[in-house]
Amino acid sequence: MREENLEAGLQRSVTMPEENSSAPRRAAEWLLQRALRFWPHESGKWGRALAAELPSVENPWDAFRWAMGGLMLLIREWLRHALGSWKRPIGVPAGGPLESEWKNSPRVPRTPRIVTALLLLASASLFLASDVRQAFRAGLRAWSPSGGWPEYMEFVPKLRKEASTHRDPQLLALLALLSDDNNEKVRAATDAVQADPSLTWIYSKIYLNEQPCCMLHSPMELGVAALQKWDPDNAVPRLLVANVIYERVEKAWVDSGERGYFGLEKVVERDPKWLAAMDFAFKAPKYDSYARKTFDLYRAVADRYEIRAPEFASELMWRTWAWGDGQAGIYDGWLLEQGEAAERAGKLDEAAALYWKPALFAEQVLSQDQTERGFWGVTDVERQSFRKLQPLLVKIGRTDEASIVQYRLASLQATIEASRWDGWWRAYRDGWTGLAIRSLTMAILVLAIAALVSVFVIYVRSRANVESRGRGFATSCVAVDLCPVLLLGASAGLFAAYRPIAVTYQRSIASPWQVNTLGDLEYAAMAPYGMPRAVAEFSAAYFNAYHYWMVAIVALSMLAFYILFRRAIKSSTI
Amino acid sequence: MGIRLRISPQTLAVLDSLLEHPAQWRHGYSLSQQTELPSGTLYPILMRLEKLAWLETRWEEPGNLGRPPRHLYRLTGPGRAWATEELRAACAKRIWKPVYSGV
Repeated sequence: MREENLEAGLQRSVTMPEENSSAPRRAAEWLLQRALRFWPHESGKWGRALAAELPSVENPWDAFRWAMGGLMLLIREWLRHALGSWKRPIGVPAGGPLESEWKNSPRVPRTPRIVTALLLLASASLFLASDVRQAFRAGLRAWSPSGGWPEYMEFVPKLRKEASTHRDPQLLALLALLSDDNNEKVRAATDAVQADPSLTWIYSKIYLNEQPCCMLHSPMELGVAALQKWDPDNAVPRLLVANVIYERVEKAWVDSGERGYFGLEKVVERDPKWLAAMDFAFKAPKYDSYARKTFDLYRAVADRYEIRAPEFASELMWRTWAWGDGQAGIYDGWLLEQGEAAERAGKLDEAAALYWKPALFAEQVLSQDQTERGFWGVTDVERQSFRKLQPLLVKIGRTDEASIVQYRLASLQATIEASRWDGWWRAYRDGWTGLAIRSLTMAILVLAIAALVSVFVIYVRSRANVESRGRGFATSCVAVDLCPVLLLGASAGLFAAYRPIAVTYQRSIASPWQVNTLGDLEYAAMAPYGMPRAVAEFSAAYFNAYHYWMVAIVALSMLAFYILFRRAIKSSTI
Repeated sequence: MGIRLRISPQTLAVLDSLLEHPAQWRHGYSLSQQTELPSGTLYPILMRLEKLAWLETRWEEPGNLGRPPRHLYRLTGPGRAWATEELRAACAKRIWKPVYSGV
């Protein structure tokens, strides 16, 4: 009461009578009146004391200097006030009833706001690391019910924009590979090859979104012809020529009203042009699916335009499979059938030659393609050929040859077994990594929202009477204490969970193409989407149950923390 | 007194002024005039002395119409002993020469 009287008296009488006022004095009065309004509560007495002296200062300029000293004191007190407030928890205002006894009050946060701020700042600063941002984006995509948006969709518009200003041939080539627009694909590919003929190989990777007969377009046919001329010894352009013939047969077959894939295969196998093209392809001295060139193209463009996107890289390598693979599969089947027919007819040497053909082609792919995809595509063909060939060779007395085939068959079998275990381990690792990334992403999202909402609630209600603050306030107090700590833990966990993926991606991008590069890129791209088999089966059995389960886990964890925390408070306050 | 603080010449000037008539209550402006310290320097010193319980303060009784009650200051008992000791020490080190207190 006494302080209020003093305050009122001061407001009334800090001003001198009008006749005694000069400009410096009026300025001094005005300054001190304003300063008193903003004076921190805890040192308000001193502001009033300083202002109360002003009428005693006779010289107007001395009065002005006195007021300026008051302003300096105000600034000093505000700095002290700001620094002091960091030591109190959020929701304990300066000068309030809780300032001296907040440690014993059950309805205020316990953590000093400097600690809360530092924890939130540390969590936010972790997001300065591109790995954490990348992991968070991947985690959000993984949570999307539709399976998320492909990462490359974020970059194709960027590539398109860059390509419109820089007519960079490599950029155009990459756009040709990734665009969903047929016209853009063909135009970009043609422009890229015109500007840089060493990019002619991209014609082997262009996939037009039309079914059937996607290669029966003038630019594509011209592209295949140009590719064969550019790389005449490679089996891949020759397989593409066979593919064009196949599609012509397919178109005629579909136009005649026929349906069914196996029927089409039989028609194609009777076409002499296709058989000649396939024979020519199988006799090619080399096999190069241009995987290395595709990878180098991605690497160059990613470096130049600062694209860091494992999923984008993996998508590129998988999406641009060589068209000829399918042709080789049909021809392999036909050769084995012909071999069996020859064997039945007693033409054993001819049968052996026919069995050898797919096996030798498979060997060539395995030794020269340098992709895991090549391995999985041809090992089965080679195994089938050798299983037929080995007893036949024994039968016709070519035992040395049979032994070599037997050895190679065993070696293939061992490689396949090892790959199976490797595949199992990868699925296990990716499943748990994916689960960790998804869970931590969701936890970060929930905790960040909870922290912000609770800080807001506490600030809004902190001036209210302690008893009337309500349960929402009490919950917010717990959230303010817990969420920043958990948020930092979740952010650090996300960083740790994604780190091996980031390192694998960086390593594969920094190194030249190797046989395991595609596997590494696939791991970097797909691990965030992984899910342990048991969880995946559970999820498949119960519609979206996995998502509800995760939300329930997060909610129950928060509830458990809340209950434990309240108990701890109660036991400490009794 | 057991407590040794780094005392600035400005603080010594304030202590010297307060010790001139130790039992008498002083106004901030008169201290400022005597010590020639601006308000922005004087008041932080007074605040610090009060916090250490070496300065006691009170408000003037209202009554003089047209003026707000003024804040009054004087050293406490322990404050006087400490101030005397500090001024003596400063004199001995020749970093301060008392003007008013006669220490």
